[in-house]
Amino acid sequence: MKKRITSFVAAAFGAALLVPVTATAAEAVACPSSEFCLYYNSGLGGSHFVAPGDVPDLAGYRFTSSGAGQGQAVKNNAASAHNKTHCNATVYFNSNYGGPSDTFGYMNSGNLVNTYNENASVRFATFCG
Amino acid sequence: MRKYIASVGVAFLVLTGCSTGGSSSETASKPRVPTLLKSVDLRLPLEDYLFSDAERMQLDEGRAALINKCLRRFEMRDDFKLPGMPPGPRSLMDRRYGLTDEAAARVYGYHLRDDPRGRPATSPPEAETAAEKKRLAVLQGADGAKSGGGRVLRVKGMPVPAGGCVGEADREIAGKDQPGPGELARGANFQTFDISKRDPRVTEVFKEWSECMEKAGHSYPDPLTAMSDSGFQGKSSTRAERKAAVADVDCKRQTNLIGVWFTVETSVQKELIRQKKSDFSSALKAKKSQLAKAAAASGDR
Repeated sequence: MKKRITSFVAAAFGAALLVPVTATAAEAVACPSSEFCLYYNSGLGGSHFVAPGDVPDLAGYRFTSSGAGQGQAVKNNAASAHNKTHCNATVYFNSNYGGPSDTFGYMNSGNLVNTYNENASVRFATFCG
Repeated sequence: MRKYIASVGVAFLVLTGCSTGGSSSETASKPRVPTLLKSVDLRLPLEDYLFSDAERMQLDEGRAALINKCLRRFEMRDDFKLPGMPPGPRSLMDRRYGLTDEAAARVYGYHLRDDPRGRPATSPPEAETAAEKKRLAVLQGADGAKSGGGRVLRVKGMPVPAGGCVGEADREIAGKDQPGPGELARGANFQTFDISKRDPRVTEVFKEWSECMEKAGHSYPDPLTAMSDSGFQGKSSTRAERKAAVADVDCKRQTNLIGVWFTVETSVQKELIRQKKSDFSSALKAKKSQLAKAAAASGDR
């Protein structure tokens, strides 16, 4: 799997964990205010995709901003997320909001978990700015 | 809802591992598998270290109180609110293993009961006036105004804290971390799902489920693949989708897929927590501290 930061390897569970995103310097193009963005690279790097609302299946969406990965598919391919909506935003492993999920609060960001290579749906309330 | 929990213990069967047909004492030490179906009220051990919706609400109330306190310092309106959790799956376990609620499957198929996909997304107006832009910069920090770092923004003669009032509030609640669960619990939540999904006991029950589905005319290797069918992603559920969803839940019942998967993932999580005992107890301490600070901030608003 690509470009994800591996912080440590748990022997029995051989998978990398996510690390919090701290460096804003890596932020190629900032996620617009009041939006939820998925990034192609870890650490909010590379091209990003702005979620248009709740997305039950990310199939068909592409990273659009300039930067590495621009034009690539978002589904199963996003490495980090930034939530600038006021609402908690949740990314699900599976389409139709199934499987395990990861929630980002207002103005919080992070890398998606390494094993979580099927980020397939995004949910936040449409009334959330 | 509780009635399904009550069914735990009604029918037990023994999970067969890969051991040779052992003595009865060996058999007795194997994990027992309860008969389960509706998963919304089941609880995995890892949930102690993650944040429930109610705990997220508590956290956000505390954050909003601290953000407003900071805004008052800059003589700005202190009506900032965080609206909390969006409607969706009702718990961590609600849709983790796919659909388990037969009545909902019959009506909504694989769609959520409060599915918003037919509604347009609404965004608040962008900050346009100078006053709104200044407020946004105080709220979210200078990078919200694309300063690129270096210069410290000053408002009313005071420096705006790093990350703005949100940054200040989050440091007060979570120190150098972000509010919410730490990387250990977040990572484990996905890892144990992945490990349990590939466990031979679980793949065996997937096979039985798949055979059951085949008899009903649906061809899927596992329940999450059924849920992801590209034909089931439209604005509302179709008849074919509802038919598949009902068969899915019925086959889960017939094969006890939820009982097996939940039992396996529970034991994977217990083992992980045991192996990293001190890391998990630090994570629990950090969570309790965040919630206590959030509650205190809400209290002295």
